[in-house]
Amino acid sequence: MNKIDQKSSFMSRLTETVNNLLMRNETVLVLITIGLSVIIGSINSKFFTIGTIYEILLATVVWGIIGIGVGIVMISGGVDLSSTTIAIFSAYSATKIMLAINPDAPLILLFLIAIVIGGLLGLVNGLFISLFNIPVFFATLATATIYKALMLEYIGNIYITPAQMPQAALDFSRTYVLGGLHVSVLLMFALLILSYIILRYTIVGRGVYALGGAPESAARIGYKLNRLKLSIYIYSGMMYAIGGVVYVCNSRLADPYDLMDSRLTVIAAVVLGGFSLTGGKGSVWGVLLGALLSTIIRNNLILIGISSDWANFVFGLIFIAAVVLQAFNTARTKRRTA
Amino acid sequence: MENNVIELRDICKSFYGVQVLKNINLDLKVGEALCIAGENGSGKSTMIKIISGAYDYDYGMLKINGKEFPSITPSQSIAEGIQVIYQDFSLFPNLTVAENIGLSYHLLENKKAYNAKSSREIARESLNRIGVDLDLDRLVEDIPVAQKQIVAIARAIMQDAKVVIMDEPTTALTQNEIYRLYDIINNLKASGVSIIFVSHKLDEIFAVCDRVYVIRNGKEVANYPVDQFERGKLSYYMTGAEIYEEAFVPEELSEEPVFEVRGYSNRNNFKDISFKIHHGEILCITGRLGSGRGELAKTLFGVSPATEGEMFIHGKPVRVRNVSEAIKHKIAYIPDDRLAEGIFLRASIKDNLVAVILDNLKNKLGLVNEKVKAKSAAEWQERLAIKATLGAPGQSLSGGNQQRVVLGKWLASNPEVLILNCPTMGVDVKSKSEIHELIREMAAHDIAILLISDDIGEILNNSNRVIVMNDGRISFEAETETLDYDSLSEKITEIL
Repeated sequence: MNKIDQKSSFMSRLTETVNNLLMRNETVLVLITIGLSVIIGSINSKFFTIGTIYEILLATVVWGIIGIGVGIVMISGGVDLSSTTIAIFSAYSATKIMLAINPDAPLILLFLIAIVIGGLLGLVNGLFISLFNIPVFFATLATATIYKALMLEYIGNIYITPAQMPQAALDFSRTYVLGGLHVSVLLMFALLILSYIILRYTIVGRGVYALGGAPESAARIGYKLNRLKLSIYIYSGMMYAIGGVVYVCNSRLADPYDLMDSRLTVIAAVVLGGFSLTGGKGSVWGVLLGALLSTIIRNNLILIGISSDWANFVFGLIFIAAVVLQAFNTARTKRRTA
Repeated sequence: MENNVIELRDICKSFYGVQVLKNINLDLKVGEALCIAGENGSGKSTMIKIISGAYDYDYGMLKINGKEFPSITPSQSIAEGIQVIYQDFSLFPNLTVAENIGLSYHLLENKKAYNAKSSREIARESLNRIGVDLDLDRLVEDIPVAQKQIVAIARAIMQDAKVVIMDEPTTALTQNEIYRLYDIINNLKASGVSIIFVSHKLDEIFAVCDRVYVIRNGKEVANYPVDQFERGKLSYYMTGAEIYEEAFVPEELSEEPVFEVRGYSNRNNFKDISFKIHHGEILCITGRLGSGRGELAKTLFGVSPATEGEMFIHGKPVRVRNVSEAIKHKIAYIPDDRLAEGIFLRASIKDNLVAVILDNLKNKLGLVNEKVKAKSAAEWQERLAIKATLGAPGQSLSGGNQQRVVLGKWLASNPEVLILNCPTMGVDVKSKSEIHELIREMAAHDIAILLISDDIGEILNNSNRVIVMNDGRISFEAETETLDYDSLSEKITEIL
């Protein structure tokens, strides 16, 4: 009797665990990604080669890195519309600065200059948002426009050709490890792990979640909200800058008009990765998965004869499914605690 | 003298020239449970905010742990061991129980790194201290209200708290959860923690408090040890007027029931609920949180459809599958969470009052006749004694007045059946008795009234028949006059 009870309680716990796992965005994403890969792979066997996987990872890198910043802002409860503008601003300016002072300087200089610029632009975002307490969406919509104008007016509006690019950047774009994996993929993973550690194991990192969950309560337990917000926007600005430099290096040219229109693409990938527009939720692994899945849909459906227009259609459908799942989950928790 | 944790001397505080606290004196002894009672706006929350450092005081002296504080910041107050448990608990819904408790600890200790393991230990220890076992890994948004409060208490006492201030801690709790809270408070007292308990519910005050401090219009009006405090005097002190509530005695009951439900069920929420309400009656359905009483109310109103069962109004079978069908059959529902469900916060009081009867206000073109609308709204404002201008937004009203607007909104539609779900939750004593008065008046006006409540005093005084629900079923039914406080409370809290 007792044994049966134990067994049935074990079974019910098991189903509960499985259910909870199934309801987690990460799990669903992995399943969708695997399912989609199996479909593509069964029609076109070329898909399952190590080469294709490396290619997908390379195509994901920029969105993954910028996505970290967008994701962190989203956890704290905001939607950052200036991400790709800061990315191209920092990368283009850094390239021009480096060309002006020493075109043969090592790559690290390019990254450092960009990171400083990205951090500063992030700081400006943060100042607007914390001092005037305006919604992130509007603040960054405004700053994105301002940054774009400033860049085109004062830094330059002519693109830097491959021939003009710093040698270190060109070398970077041709550096492969592990039999064909682009080095920037490793950089992305390093940044993901760094951000994971910060979000999970530091007080500031937990504060990002606290801020997104209940700002007033965060202040009541002793968080200094303005300082916390500034850290968030500076860090995100730095991530955008790194993403921008990787983008510029890998495409071997720096076009000031590039990338800016992709800000919604990044937001979509992050939301796909299980982030909530109302804040408080999400992990860097969600960013990676969301970016991977959107890359596969956009770049690889062509392998099975689906045109890029239809690929966008599929992306739209999956995006809606992700948002519906989120809404459904919220409703479910609400029902459970009512 | 030395064993006072908090001393207030002649504390005065004004906002924009309006004096809200006048020469407040207060001593809180170690291990003492003090109740601060007062109506909304009496100054009790200002008093608490001065102690917690949220407000500065204008004049007087504040001493905590024997130290004088000419002004005090929130973090100084926390460092002195003063913890406030706000009505909204101030928790993080997106974090786990352990994180909610542990994160405060990390901040207090000024740590830079977050250690999940020590968070769990702190949380476990703190929960053990109040003798409760919770799943540390569940998200706070997934746990019931009563457990959220326990998390808030655990967080408050995790660092040597000397004073725990609880702001109306029982508004969201049912009776047996309240009993558990009493136990927790008594444990805290025994371990030397002082409690300030903000409440105006008599039973609570007498159950846990050593002293009662009543504040009215910013002035102390009573400050007595609880055993010298006259039970019946509280509302007199709070309002300055005597309020008597006589038990409700129905006038003549109609032969035929107005409203009847047979075998009503809704999935796992409740099963096989049957009852009748006659004209002139107030039927009360009570039960613990999770007993199905709230779900029953919502199902009757069509918020979610019944899976089985029949409903009759004046003997005629009706089907209510959604809210508009319920409104069509003249069923009205006043939700417990008046803010979230009943009132349009941004809309004017006028618009709120006519929201349900807009259809009746149409002219030939199908447009709303503004003149008729204004007249109708003014009529209800007068009948319900709502103290505000009709153009003001709903959110500008106090809790009791909001409740009255919601009441008026439904009464304007001339309902046959009125379902009230905990109508006086979070309402002060005076408004409460006025709402009771209104309910009785409606019962006399041929409306079948179904009162859902867990306030035993309210039930005993304002219904003639009681149904107790337990685990989704009717576990007990009786005429109210055959019951007293203890017998009813026992029926509600019994475990089947």
